[in-house]
Amino acid sequence: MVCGTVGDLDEAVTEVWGEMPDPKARRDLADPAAARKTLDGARAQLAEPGHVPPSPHQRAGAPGASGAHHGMSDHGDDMAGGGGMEMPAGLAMAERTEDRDGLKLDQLHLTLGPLLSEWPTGLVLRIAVQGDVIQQARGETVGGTGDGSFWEEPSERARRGEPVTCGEVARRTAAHRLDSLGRLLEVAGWPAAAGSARWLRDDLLGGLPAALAAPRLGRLVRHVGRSRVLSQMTAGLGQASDGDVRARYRRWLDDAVRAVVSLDGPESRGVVRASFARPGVPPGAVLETIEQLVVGTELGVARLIVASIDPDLDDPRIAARHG
Amino acid sequence: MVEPAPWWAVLVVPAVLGAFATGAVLGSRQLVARASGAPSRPQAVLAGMCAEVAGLLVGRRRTTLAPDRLLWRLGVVGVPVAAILAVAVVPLGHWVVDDLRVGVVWFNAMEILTWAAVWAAGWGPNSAFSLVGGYRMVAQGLSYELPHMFALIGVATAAGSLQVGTIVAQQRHLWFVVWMPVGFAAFLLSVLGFSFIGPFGQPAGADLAGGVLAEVAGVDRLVLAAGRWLLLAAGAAMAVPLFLGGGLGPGLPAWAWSVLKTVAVLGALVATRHLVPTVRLERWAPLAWLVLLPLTIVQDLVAAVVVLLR
Repeated sequence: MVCGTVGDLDEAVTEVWGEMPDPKARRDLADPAAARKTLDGARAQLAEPGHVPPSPHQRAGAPGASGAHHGMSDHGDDMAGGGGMEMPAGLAMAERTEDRDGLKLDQLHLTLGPLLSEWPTGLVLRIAVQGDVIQQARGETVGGTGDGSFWEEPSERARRGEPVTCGEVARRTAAHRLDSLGRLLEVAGWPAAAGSARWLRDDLLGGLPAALAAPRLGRLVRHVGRSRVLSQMTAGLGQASDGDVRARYRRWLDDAVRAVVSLDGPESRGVVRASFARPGVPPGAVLETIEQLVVGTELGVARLIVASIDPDLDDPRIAARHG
Repeated sequence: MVEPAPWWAVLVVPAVLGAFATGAVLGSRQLVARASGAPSRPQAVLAGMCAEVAGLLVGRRRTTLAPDRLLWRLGVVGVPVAAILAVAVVPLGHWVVDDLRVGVVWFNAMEILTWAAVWAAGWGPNSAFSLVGGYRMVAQGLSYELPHMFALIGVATAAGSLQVGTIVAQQRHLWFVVWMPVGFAAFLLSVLGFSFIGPFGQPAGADLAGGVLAEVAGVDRLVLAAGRWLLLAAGAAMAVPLFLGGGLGPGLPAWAWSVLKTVAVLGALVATRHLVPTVRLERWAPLAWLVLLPLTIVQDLVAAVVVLLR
């Protein structure tokens, strides 16, 4: 199921699709109203008695294509090294460079994104790793629409002078923070809490009144905000101008609580923007900040850092940077 | 009081272990469904699991570029096999497949086999995320293994035997958990460790797109994923004779006590998965070595002193 505008991501989507094991059925969904019909169609195709997969599954990336093959897979497991010698299966030898302790170690070039589960869609991080520690990182973007973030859309309209209720902005803001939180919690290996955050996000977008949202958010805040393990595991990671990973998710929780309070607030114009401005990393500096923060970290830590910054590449303030 | 079961028990043991593991999966899925607003009635959860299993059974296996096929398959199959072999020494009430004189060592050996199996499953597919997952298992093992072994040593010291049947018999008057709570806690943590589930699920972490599970699809995925839960069930089942008096208890038959206690331990382990996020090894390893390990050694000292004075 490919939702939304594919745009420049087409190549990556095709590659992921090629790597998915059969039986499978692909549908592109641009119009939310068609969701049920599209899903039914896909299910019918999978249930067809004669639905025989065309050919044994093979990994995209033909032998000998090591230099050109950039792993735009959902696993980002591009094993192409930088060396010149051709090896069996077309994989080059890993090159060796000094590690942080001055030892010569194998270096592997990997690509994270643009499609990776619990990862900002369209963000590409080309990294060089030794073991699981990142030595170099270069951020790029693929496919952001630049039309503005879905999450900022009501405040954007308010800024243009259209009548937008305070509650509408608050609702979108709360949902946004829960969306980011869900991704971070999933990366942190806490699927139950991530599920709670996403459920509340969906219900908020569906118009859940404040009286029902507040107690559920309260439970989530108690559960996640007071988790000592989560706090211990995220403290001190990804320290930037806006704090560390822990400071960021705590701020999301605070934001969501404040936003839910004003869900059913009075009608107002324009003024709503400032109160929920995200004091996070400035959008213009997102790629540079991520590049700087992830160098020297373990892969899992890097994932937490990226999830805690959680850039939305549809935001036009994030400058497109193509590789 | 523990006696070898007839030969056909060899066939029953995987089924019983599988039933415990299935129950744990269902319980865990229900907790996630309830937390995320998905249908959480037992029928819905059961149907969801059956659909996923069926999907994996008909799904194609995945092949990667230049995999080490032999190592990969051995690793994937090794995980459930280790779990099933491990419970050969775990009594259910009075019955056990074989009450080896060195039963505790046998269990420990099978548990360590999972290190190798998970590492091989991570190495095999020639994929960076799987590989990192496999090595995380080794790092995790280095953190939980010594506390785990000292917990076992405490039990063996207290019972004066490595035979699981004797260990159960020695708890006639007082369960070992009462005066060896630290050992019990360390053992439970290591169960989560060797089954790489919940707080110790980093080898198969979402941050690695599934780690050792990232490249397995179809039947392979089913076997490896089921292996984790079989290991969890095996660990829970072993905690019962080691610390909770095995089949000992008033009123009910011994097998019923074994089942009840196993379900309780398994329930507690599944619950931790939902209360705690994954623990990152670079932060857990210092705790394991500097806090947990000394505590288990002190626990063993207590056990030794009690045995000497008795």
